[in-house]
This record gives sequence, C-alpha cells and structure tokens, in this order.
Amino acid sequence: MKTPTAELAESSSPESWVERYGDALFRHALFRLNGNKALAEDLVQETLLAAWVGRKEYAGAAREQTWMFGILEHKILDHFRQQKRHPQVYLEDRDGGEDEMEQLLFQADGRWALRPGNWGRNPEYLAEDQDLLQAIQRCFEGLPKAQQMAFMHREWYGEDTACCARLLEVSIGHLAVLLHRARLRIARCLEAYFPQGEVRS
Amino acid sequence: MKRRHFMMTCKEAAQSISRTQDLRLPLSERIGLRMHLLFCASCRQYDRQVRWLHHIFSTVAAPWREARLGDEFKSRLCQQMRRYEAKAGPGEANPEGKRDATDSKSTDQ
Repeated sequence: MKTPTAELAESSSPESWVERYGDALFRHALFRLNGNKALAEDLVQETLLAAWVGRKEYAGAAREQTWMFGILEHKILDHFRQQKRHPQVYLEDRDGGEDEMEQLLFQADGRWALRPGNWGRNPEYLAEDQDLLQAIQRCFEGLPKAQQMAFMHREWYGEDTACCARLLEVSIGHLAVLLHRARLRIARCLEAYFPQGEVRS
Repeated sequence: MKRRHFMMTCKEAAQSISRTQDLRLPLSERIGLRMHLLFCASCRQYDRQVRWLHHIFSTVAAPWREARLGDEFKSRLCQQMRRYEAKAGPGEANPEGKRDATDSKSTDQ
C-alpha cells in the first residue's frame, strides 16, 4: 500500500502524468482528428509538455484533467485553424446563460418552436460518411465546455453515468442536465446537415 | 399552488428523452413520457435523433476507445518532460511550449 507522501511524490513525476492522462488524451485526440494517429501523438505530446512546464501556475485550480483537456482542445482548434477549417460556433454559448438553446427551441407553453427534422432513422450507412463525421465534430466544438466534457465521457467513452458525474465533480442530476443540453444543441446543429431530412443522394 | 398539467409538455418530454439515456426514470416520468410520445410526432422524432446520436457516437468512437500510447512513445515523452523542466526552470513556464517543442525536436536529430 502507498503512503500519502509516496503518492504525493508520484503525482508530480512525468511518469505518473503520462500514465494517468496520456491514454485518455490520446483517445480524445484520435476522435477529434478522425483517427490520425501521428497527429494525435504530436498534440498529446505538446499538451503534456505544456501542462508539465506550466503546472505550477495551476496547482490547486481546476481539476488537472479538465485543465489538460482544455489545453489539448486548444491545440486541436489551432490545428484546424491552420487548416482553414473554422470551428463553427453555434450561438454565443459560453458557459453562462445556458438555457438559451431551450428558449430558442421551445415556445413559452413548452411546445416545440423549431421542430426536430426528419432524420435519425438510418444508422448504418452514415457511419462511413466523412462529411457527417466532420459536421458532428463541428457541432461538438460549438458546445460549452462543461457540456463537452459530459458528452465526451458519456457518449464517446461510454462511461457509466455515476462515473461521469464523479469525473466532472457534479451531481448525477446536474450531469443529466448537461447531457440533455448537449444533445439538444448537437441535434439542432445537425439540422443544417439534413436540410431535407435524411434523403441524401 | 403550481398548476400541474396532466400531460408533459414537449420541453419536459425532451428532457425525459435525454434522461432515459443516462438514468433509470421514476415510474411516473416513464409513464408520462410514454403517453406524450403516443400523441406527439415531433417528440417521437427527437427521441429517434437522440438514439441515433448515441448510436453514431458509440460506433464512430469504438475503434479508439481502447487506444493506448506506445510504451516507447511514453518513455520518450517522459524524458522530454524532464529536459523541459531543466530548461524552463521554476516560474518560467512557457504554457504553449511550442517553440521549445520544435527546438528540442531539431536538437534530437
């Protein structure tokens, strides 16, 4: 068994950081970069180096994990920008004013103001569709940070609800709210991809 | 007293649709949602979309869920992190680390 001091010492070695965060960052990068392994490795490397050098500034601030994913996401967006693929910012939606999307989508009496379009029936052929994958990525980029983290752990990594809540340090109820908002936004954002519903040539 | 309607609104139904993906809903909420979906085509559509999203994300992400960095890559990275520390020293953090990254790459070769 480890003593607390040993754990503390271990928590600040490069090995422990790479062990603890390396693979998770790598998976995230792979997803965001559509499986480009070399690039994912580069960005993970840059992220861990930057985090390592800057770690003293962050002692005690946000959770290490959230902070590191933030750095990685920043680098991913940088990469896209260099490729002239501008991230889509869907609505002004930083973490404040979170009910914006619900207000937009529903009338005061709770009925849909913008009805969900006719798509979502055919799961098979779409997984091969590169345009769709890109569209989904852009919609993900438009989510507020907390929703991104929630959605990422739950839908991409398939982690169970209780585990996600623990990772994000929120209650299960709040996690469900975050996921609900993320789904509403992503679904709305994808409407643009299916202007005529799902009938595609 | 707050007036309660018998039927869920679409806004509430959308919430419950999402919640079924993550939680075990209380019986009353499950029944309420069923009832609503029976009569509301838009919410049935949204329900479809939410399930579809779940399916797409899990299919797309599946091959990468178990991905791991190679051991060699990891130990090289650790060495690099140590070198960085020596170079930057305490308090002189370069949060981007970019310039240094290219520097150390070129000196490696």
